[in-house]
Amino acid sequence: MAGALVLAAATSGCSSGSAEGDLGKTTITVAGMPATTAAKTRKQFLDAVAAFEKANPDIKLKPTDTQWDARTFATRLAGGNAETVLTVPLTEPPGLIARRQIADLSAEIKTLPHATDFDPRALAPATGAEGKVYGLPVTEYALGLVYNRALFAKAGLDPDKPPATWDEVRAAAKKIAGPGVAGYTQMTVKNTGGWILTAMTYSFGGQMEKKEGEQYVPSLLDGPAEQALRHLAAMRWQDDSMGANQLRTQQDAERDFAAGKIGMMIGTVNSYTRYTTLYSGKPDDFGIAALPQQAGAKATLLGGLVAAVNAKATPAQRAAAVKWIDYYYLKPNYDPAAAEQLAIANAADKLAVGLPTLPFYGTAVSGPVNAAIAKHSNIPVSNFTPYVKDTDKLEYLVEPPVAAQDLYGALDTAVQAVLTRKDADPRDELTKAAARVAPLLEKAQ
Amino acid sequence: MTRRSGLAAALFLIPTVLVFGLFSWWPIVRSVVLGFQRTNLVEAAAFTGLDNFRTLLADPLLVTAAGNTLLFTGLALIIGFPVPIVLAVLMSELRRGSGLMRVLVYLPVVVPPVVAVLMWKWFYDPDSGLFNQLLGLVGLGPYPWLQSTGMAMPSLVLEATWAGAGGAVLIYLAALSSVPTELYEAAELDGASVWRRLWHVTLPQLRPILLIMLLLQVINTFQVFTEPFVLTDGGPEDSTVTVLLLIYRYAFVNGDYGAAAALSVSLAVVLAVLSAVYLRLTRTWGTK
Amino acid sequence: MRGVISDTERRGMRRRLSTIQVLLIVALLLEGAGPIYWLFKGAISSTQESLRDPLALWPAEARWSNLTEAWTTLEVGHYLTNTVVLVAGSWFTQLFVAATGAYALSILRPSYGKYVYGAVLATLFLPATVSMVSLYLTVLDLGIANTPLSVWLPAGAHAFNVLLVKQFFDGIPRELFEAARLDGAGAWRIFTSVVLPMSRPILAVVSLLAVMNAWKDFLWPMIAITDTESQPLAVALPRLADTSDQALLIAGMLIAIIPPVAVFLVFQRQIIRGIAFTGLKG
Repeated sequence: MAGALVLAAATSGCSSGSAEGDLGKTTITVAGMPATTAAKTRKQFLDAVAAFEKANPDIKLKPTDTQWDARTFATRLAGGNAETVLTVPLTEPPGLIARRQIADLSAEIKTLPHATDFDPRALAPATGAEGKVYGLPVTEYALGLVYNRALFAKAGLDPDKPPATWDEVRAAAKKIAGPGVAGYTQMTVKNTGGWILTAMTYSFGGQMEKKEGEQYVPSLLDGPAEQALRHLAAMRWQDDSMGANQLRTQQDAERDFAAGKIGMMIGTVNSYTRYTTLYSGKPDDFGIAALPQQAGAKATLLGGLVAAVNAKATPAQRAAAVKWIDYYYLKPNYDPAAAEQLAIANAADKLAVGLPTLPFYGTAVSGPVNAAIAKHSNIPVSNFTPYVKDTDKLEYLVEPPVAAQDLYGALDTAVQAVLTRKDADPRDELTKAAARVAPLLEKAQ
Repeated sequence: MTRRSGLAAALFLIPTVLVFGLFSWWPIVRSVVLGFQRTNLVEAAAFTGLDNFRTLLADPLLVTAAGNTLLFTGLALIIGFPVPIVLAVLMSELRRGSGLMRVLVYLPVVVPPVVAVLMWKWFYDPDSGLFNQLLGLVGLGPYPWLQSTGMAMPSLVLEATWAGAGGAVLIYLAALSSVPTELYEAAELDGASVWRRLWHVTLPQLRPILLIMLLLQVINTFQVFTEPFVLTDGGPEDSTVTVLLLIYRYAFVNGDYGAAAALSVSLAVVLAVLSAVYLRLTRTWGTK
Repeated sequence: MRGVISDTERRGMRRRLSTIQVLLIVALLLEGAGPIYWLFKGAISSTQESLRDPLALWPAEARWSNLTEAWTTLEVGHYLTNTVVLVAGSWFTQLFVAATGAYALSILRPSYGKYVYGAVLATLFLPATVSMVSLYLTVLDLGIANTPLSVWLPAGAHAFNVLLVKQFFDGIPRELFEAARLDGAGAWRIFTSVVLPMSRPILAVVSLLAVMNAWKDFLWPMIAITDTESQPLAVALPRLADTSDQALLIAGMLIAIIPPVAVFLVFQRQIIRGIAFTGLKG
């Protein structure tokens, strides 16, 4: 499960609402199957599907490997082409709950093992009003600073002492930057620009949306977002330490990082799996630190995936869906034996074992699980130490509560402006973005 | 006509009426209706008057997208329109290897657009891209290509010209071969130089086809989508957001089908006028 | 036959013409064959090498395994099959609708025919992209989204085909039908044994246009077929581009262009004549 693609997820498939397939079997479509380019994790997923069907002969699963894409998800869901079990980023549940597109799972969740031991933080992203729970965690992590240890060493920096503040990031980027190598990179396309700027703003002590009366409004002009953009502008134009390519998607950035063309970027723990399997990066060169902080801030952005159930599902399908979510996503997080079995399988497939993701359960449950996994850890643990040590001291903030993807889209433009046009003024760009999203926020509430 | 053949005619028309009815006429009517409705496929559609058009006008991206689309069309006219003409004239005058030249010139058209666009994405890469590497050999660049608001659109036009020029060249070649040779001979007897003959004989003879190709190109470039969608996703800084990309975003990203339909209808009006002119031209040209 | 330059002038400027000729052919080689060669070279190089030395003309170590690996891990063959299925169906619908419709309108001529023809021609004024949004909603209502039908059927609503075929049918001497009718042939017999065999040239042109359009289509299949398993290669490639190794993706792209390029090289004469005949691109 740790190997599942962060973005691998939801959408499409056929007729999630109607299929009550062969001879009284309950048929459900399930998202989250890794793409064919990740052959090993895909095989594991398919094996799990087969094992689940064997254990539950009355349930038939149809897996799909469509990647979650902000540009198409809404249509597939509204058009009835989305799966029964959806896996969506943490930005999505509030809107999906408000539009009644995903089902209330509170009753089904109560019947699950360890239902009362959940870490409230793990359920928070998919919890609606009145405490109803609409989704279960697939994977959750705090964003951090991913860096290339080899490039650090080459630039005369200590790979074990990564930057802790944005000023230190700037200084390090200046030393690392060279022909074909960017000291620091920020992704800017397909809503990642807004996503990463949000994390950065949190680490400058700010927020992206605030409550005014009963309504959420954008708070882009309160200062921290502007300071973050100004910091980027200084690195881009004064230091020229951000390289030539400023229009990267998350995939572009991760690929170029693995190719040794990027010194630092904001990234996720899970990107390590893609780094080694998809982009053939060297394990020893991968470093990750806690999100750098500035001006006394102590916060990072929580990211990850939530599994939810299509509101069009029948009660039988809903029960089957929760059963599958429990089997595939939750069990390895509460059952030490299952966790160890998965760890052994992952290790045999040379997939990362022992990544420091957030536990879904309190320490009483997650302690033994982590101990079982740790026995088979195959990652360079010390490379993750800076991240584990310092992330613990940070507050985990969730994504903006209203119309997050719209906000991110508008902020893409602002970040692109600051990084591609020297005379772009951060405050002007944020003013434009705020004007663009204000009506969208209003419409969404 | 006998009654039996009347029945036969009706039967033979069924496929046409069904296919056009369901997939052409009805969607057109529906677009107009949708333009005045609020629909997100979740709740029932409701009439909201001119609300969708107000949403559009309030969106700062509308002006940007319209301007970008016009810019694309204009640049395509400046870069993309003359290139095939020049190529066709050169190819028709140079006689050797004409078969090979025709094949070469048409090869890019055969490459599926998505492959072409993905390939050009690598050509344009600011670090290891082919263009910056080649220009670097002669001491030029590096250029930002898709990375700057100023160069992104011209870069898209360059790709589109490469991908589309071949078809136009072949059409011009056919038109050139039908220019009566007596006209050239007469001009030559009058002492007209090669250049003057090109200007006073060739171009006027090509005028009808040139006009048609011009209009076709304008109609096509008004609907540009694949290039900005795959190469830049509208960036940097919305400098390559086109009208069709905006329609796509309204409908399939935001789920606001009403606003998308309203914008489609507005674009349709513009295109319908252009198409009407185009059809008039083809007809007068066809009967000539 | 002569062009702008007369034969006598040609003799006088032979050297200059040869220079231009060589330059033009070199330019066309670079423009037309260059990118395809680049794909070929990139497909058999390692990603690292393509990045490090983009101008190399031949990889230090040719990795032919990239092609087979792309075929299996990117499932290029599977998506290519999807493309072929979509193209074949679209071709058939276009040909079927154009031939039957034009036959009714041109030869059987019912009294209401001119209204139908007018309504068909009217759609020429509105490119399909502008009613794309409501077309999608219609396809959803019909329950054919995510099936090949969602691409096949709308492809048939192509007014230009009807126009081309009808104009051709209009030119067939009517005495032929009268003769056949006197022999006792019905409308269907006349269609299959008189009209169709005579219309091979125009049907070939329509087929050519239909296949080329369907092969190149990207936006509509992307909207109509969201199920990754059924997507054509053109829609799958940008998605795969996000997650696959660069060398494998280029290998996949190379495989994707082999069928159309091969078909073009084999039928180049017919295709080039066909394009010139219609006087229209795409």
